[in-house]
Amino acid sequence: MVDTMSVTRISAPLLACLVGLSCAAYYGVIAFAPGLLSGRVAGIPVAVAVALALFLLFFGVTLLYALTGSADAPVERSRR
Amino acid sequence: MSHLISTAGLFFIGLVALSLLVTVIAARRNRSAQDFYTAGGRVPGWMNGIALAGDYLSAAAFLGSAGLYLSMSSDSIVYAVGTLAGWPLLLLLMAEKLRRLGHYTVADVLAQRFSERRVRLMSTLSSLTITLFYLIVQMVGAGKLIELLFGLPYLEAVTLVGVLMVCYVSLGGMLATTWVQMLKAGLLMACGIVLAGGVLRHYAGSPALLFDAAARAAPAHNVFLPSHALSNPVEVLSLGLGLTLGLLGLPHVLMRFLTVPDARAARHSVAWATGLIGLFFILNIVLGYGVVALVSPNPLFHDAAGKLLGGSNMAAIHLADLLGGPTLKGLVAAVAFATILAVVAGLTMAGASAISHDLYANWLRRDPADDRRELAVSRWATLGLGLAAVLLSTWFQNQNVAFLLGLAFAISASSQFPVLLLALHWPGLSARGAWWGGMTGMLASLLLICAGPAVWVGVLGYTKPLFPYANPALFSVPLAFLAAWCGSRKTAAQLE
Repeated sequence: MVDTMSVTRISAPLLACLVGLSCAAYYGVIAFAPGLLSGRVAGIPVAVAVALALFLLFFGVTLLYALTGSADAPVERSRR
Repeated sequence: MSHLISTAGLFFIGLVALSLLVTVIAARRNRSAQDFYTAGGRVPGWMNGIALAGDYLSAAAFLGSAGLYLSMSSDSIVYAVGTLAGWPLLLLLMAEKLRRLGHYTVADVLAQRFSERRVRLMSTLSSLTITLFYLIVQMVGAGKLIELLFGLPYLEAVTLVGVLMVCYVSLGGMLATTWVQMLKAGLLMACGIVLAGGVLRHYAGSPALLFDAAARAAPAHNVFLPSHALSNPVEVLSLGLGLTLGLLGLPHVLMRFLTVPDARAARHSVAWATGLIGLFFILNIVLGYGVVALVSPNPLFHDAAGKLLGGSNMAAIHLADLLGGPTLKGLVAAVAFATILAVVAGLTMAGASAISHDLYANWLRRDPADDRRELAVSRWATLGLGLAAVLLSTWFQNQNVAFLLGLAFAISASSQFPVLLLALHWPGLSARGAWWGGMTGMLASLLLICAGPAVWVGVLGYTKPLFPYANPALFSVPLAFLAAWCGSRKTAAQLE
């Protein structure tokens, strides 16, 4: 049986990096080379196609993570 | 015109009556402070997800985005990518821990870790600032919408919204707010599908033909590339950072994770919300280019000077008029109005909770046990927030609501987000670090916004801004993290 909690623990930072880096790359292109987004792919503007691909990635990551893990875990509390 | 007023008026009255009925039913179920603040913590994940989407799909997402396509090319898509990216990050970094640690408000999460009152005060001030800024955005959208449709003066229009929002929140609490959000999210999605379907039908169901028509309608510039407003790399990176991280600090969104029974429901909430919001953004691309292709070349929707009637925020309403006549225009306008009302209710709920639970019960009186008195304060706070939002929105009434939303996100990303992220993930954060980080981020973002072009030039009327960038997040977010680190280091040095 797969330990879903351990899957969640390992993948959360990786998935966060994936989302963060793809978002940073997108804004990097908009900031420094927006011309890369001109042109068309199968009649769809590249700027729209890239945005759609990112929407799909963000939803995919969310769905993947939402379907793993348990209902609750113990809470660690400290006071300083 | 009279037919338009009667159609739109009927939809308006119907939606307001329905939402008030929902509020009255919800009010009967509220028996405790927990019911009022967090709907008893029993909202299922899917319901909370739809309500989260409702919270998020505001006047800016609907009216402002469509208007941006007309005036700012594809800037709306750039906004959409950044804001949607925030959802998986919210899930991966915060949602589950918030559910486990929170009680009624975001400040409760910090209070679980730090007993110092100033940390709660910082979180409360930050929540209130973000809420008020976000409220202004919604009020501007509502005021413009009613002004255009009924000819009601702006101030009277926003006052009407203020009165309705006070009714929703003070009577029904979080449960009413959740139900109203669900109702509104369903109606908004339906409107988006009808409008996008209408646009695509104009072009034989082919998005490629739609994009061709949009390009032909605006031959002077490339409508698929960002506008001149996003030509400065620093401005773009700052906008992206603010939009992506801003979601992770919005009090009315974070508070929703306290309404679900467990971490699994919290995760499912985010999945539902991301799916619905992503779908709406896709519909918005069709709507936006539909506006460019169909509304912009049509003289019926422009005044003698060539400006769009009602301003750029009304582009989606004009598109509805073109596609379905006064009936569809009335329906879409009523749904847009319901959208604003629902978001305003969610925001007011978060703001009133911050005042009554955090500021009054836990900070001022240090006695959170008196539920009855706390709820009474919450109702007065709702009234106060309504008045403040009405008055402040008159200053910003000529700004694009999507742009104003970007500023609200920047404040959220700079003040609430850094402290919450560090509190949830970094054991080294001290109370001093949380206080320094939160206050530095909030003050830096506010000062930079005031000194920037939006306020210094747009509101105060000076010719040149003191700070050249409209979006402050690239500077204020790192400052907040640095201040939190410095504060925590100082605490550690004192303990050694």
